[in-house]
Amino acid sequence: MKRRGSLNYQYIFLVVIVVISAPLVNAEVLFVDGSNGNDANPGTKDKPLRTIARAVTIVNSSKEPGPTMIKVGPGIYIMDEMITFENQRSYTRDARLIIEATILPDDPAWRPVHMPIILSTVQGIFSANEMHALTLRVEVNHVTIRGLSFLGNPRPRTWHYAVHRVGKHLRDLVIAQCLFLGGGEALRYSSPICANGEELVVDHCIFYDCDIPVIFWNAEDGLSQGNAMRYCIVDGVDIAAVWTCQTDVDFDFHHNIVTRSQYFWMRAPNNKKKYIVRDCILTDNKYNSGFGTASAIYGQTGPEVTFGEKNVIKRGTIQLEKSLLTPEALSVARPRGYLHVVPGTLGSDLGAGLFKKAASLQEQTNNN
Amino acid sequence: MKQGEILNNRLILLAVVFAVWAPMVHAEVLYVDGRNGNDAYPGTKEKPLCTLDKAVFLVNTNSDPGPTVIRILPGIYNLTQHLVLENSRPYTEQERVTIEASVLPDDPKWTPQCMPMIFSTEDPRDPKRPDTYGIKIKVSHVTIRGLKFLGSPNDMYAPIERIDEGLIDLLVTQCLFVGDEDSFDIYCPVIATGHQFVVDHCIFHNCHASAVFWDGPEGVSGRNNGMRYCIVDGGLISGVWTCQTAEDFEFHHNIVTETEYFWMRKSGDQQRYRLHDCIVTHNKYESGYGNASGPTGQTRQEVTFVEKNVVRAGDIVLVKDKKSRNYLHPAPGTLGSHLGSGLFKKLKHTEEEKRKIEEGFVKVNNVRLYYKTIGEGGPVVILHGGPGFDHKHVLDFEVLGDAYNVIFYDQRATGNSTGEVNANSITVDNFVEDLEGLRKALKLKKMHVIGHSWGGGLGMFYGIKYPGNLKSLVLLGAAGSSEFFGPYLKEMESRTSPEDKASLEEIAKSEAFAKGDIDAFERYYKIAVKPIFYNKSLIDTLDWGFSQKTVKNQRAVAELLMKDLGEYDILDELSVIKCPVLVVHGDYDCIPYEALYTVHTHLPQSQFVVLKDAGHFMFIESPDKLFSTIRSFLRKQ
Repeated sequence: MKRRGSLNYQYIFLVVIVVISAPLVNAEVLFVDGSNGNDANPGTKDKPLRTIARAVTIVNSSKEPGPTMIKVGPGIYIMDEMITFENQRSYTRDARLIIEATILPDDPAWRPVHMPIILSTVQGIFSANEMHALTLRVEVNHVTIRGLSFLGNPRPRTWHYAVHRVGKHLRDLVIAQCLFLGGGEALRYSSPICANGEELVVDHCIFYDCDIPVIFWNAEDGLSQGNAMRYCIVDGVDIAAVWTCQTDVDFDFHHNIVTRSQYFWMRAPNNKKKYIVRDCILTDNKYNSGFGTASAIYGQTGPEVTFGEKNVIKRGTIQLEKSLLTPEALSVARPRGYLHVVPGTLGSDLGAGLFKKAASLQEQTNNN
Repeated sequence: MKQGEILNNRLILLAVVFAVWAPMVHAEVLYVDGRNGNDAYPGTKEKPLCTLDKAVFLVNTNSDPGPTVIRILPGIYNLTQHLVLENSRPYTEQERVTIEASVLPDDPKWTPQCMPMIFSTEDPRDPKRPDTYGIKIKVSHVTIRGLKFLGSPNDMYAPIERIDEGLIDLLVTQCLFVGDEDSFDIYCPVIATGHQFVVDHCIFHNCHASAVFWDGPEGVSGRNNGMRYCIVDGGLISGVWTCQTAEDFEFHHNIVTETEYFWMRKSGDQQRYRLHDCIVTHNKYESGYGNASGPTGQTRQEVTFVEKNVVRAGDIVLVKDKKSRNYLHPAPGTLGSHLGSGLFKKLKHTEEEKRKIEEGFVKVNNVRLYYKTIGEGGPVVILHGGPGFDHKHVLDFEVLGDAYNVIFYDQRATGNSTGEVNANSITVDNFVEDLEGLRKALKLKKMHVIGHSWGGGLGMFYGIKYPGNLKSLVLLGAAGSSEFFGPYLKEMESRTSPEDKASLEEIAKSEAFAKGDIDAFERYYKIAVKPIFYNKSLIDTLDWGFSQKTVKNQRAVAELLMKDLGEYDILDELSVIKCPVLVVHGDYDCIPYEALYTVHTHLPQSQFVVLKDAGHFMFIESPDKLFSTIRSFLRKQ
């Protein structure tokens, strides 16, 4: 068991490297541009598609092996129906299915306005007492989602998921450099990411004003391995910042900032695993650890639950950069560091947030 | 000058009164339904349009005089480009353009879900438009009413804008504006130049500059403007913003709280405004100067207000439950809840005055039955189903209270009524005698009876025993023979998903359920009725409102009564019911069509109606058709 755990860990490491540096020369690439595209176009750079739904239909209808790349231009994308990645194509760890922004945060020219904004108006499906609306369902292995901004769903009393994976047999889903923005009474945001299966890696993401940012759910054999959450900033969570169910102790949780949240960590009632938390800042959260299920929060955990902590800061205030009113431009400006830690304040040198370059610099410094 | 002002004030009053009461008989009315409409349709009630763009296009390209009404059904309306209301039609104060929700807040049936939700996703990258709009108004005499405006992922978004010389008379009323700085921003919910711009009964939650009375041409002050009965909460810049606005500005019955500046004004403006009957608490600054780029600082002693009856201390507690009619209004009983601010124009008591409501108990047959009556006219008694539920979930029938004396009561041992729960008490015969006792106690001669589900069964048993006391009978989803129970249960079973079965079992086993927890019980029955709802999204509008006693006794009452009913077949006995009967079947009900059809064929004077796309709770799924059918049936009697 232990061996399998460490093997997975290596795989994941590999995956991230590959994702960053693979040249993807022979990839199938589809371009989407919500403003100037057209769904009758072939989806090339010059003749982009208009909707993400159309790109997904094209990807699903092909039987070629991967890799596949969907590149989404800046703009606002309304998802009024659930979109599902579902096909028989033989993606692998190296030849992946990637959906990403055309300009990514590490590009020096990048600004928050370059993030494609995905707004869901999906009508929920009724379940017990509320509506559940899934926006992007990922039902294939080896998928990366990168550089997108997901907003909530304006429909009333709707439990909204941005990215959802139902299949318990599935593995390898990387969600990186994405922004998940809730909006109080206007755009309630329930569960940005919820995935069954194994190897869900949430990396360099920001979750602002959501109910439950990430749910690491169940796997086929009752034990989910190879999961990770790192370099994320979580601020203002109404329920719990992290939720683990059948997640194994190899869960790789580090370089995260969790602040102003109800619970830091929620787990299934029968889950007493001792997870390792390292290099994190956890401040101003109401409770540390709790038990809960899909239907109820049971309350705080007792002495039966402990964490292996290393280098965890629990005091101090996290200050995030907010949008600015700029008189001369008569506009609201979102600086490059929008919703990142204000430089020079607690947490600004942790490397958490949308930028990977900062994080790798940070690691180098640490190693030296 | 002074006379002119008075005249204008009168006109405003008139305009408002007309907007509310004008019978609009000859109006051009366009219906918009984002879900079921189609832009190829003519825009009638039966064939509504789909988009607001199309409705505005039709209005703009017409050249007839007004009035014009665009009536919007509940749903989500995304504006990918702003609307421009622009034409040269001769609208007047009385013959206005009205853009409004199909159900308005003062309607007793209104819930926050009835508000059409409008938001914008106009392309943020168009350099020509750094600021974006929802509706740009280029005509005079406009009313916007009952809509909910959300923000835009863009910055600098203004949902309603009227900026042009020479335009007058814009009334924005009973609208809700909900923004969020980071994800779905509203910069200026309403901004307008010129005269007669009135913001009335609106709520602004987390917007930047809530209502902006903007600059007209230099030196011309905007007259007859007003802001009243509004709630501003969490304003990121200001609660109200005036520029050259004349001192006749009416500002009263507003609540402004948790806002950066209570009052922002154009630099240099020193008008002395009068405010009365307001609550202004927990704002960062009181009064400030600002220009197009934002606030420039606080005012000094050169700026003063005339105040009368302004509360400056205390917490405003807003209701956050989106289901509640009071969503984003002050919680009942807390500071500000009696001010009349918010979406409702008619306070609740006036509504109740209009329709006489009476409630109480009658002692009959050794039990005390709770009853409630609404309205005046011929008596219509409503029999609820279950068996063992109570009258709350059939309160939808109170709409008939505008023409009838509608009487609800809780059958014995549930709701607020008393009654022992044993085999001697819970019998069909006792239930029939209870209804007869109620009739005598309320001194009714002949009555109309409407029975839903088991209530329909009770109506038939009553009619067989006391046919002479019925003026008419309406039977909704009820069977005249137990032979239809088998097929009914089988159909229910097959339509219940495994997940729902598991949920039902889970709830039934839960401690809360065993303890008589009302929430758990209602949750259980919301899942249980899923198979008999054609439109599952409407289940949430079924408001059980069970009492604690109902939760405690329902299952035992149902069991005892079913035992007493046993195997029965009263079809042949129905021939004694000589009064007119209306039999209604929802075509998605699990109770078979034949169950209703056989009742119909055994009655001497019966009318049979099948409602399409409706299940067992047709008063929720098909209220328009059901109630219009019932009304025309009752009118004939």
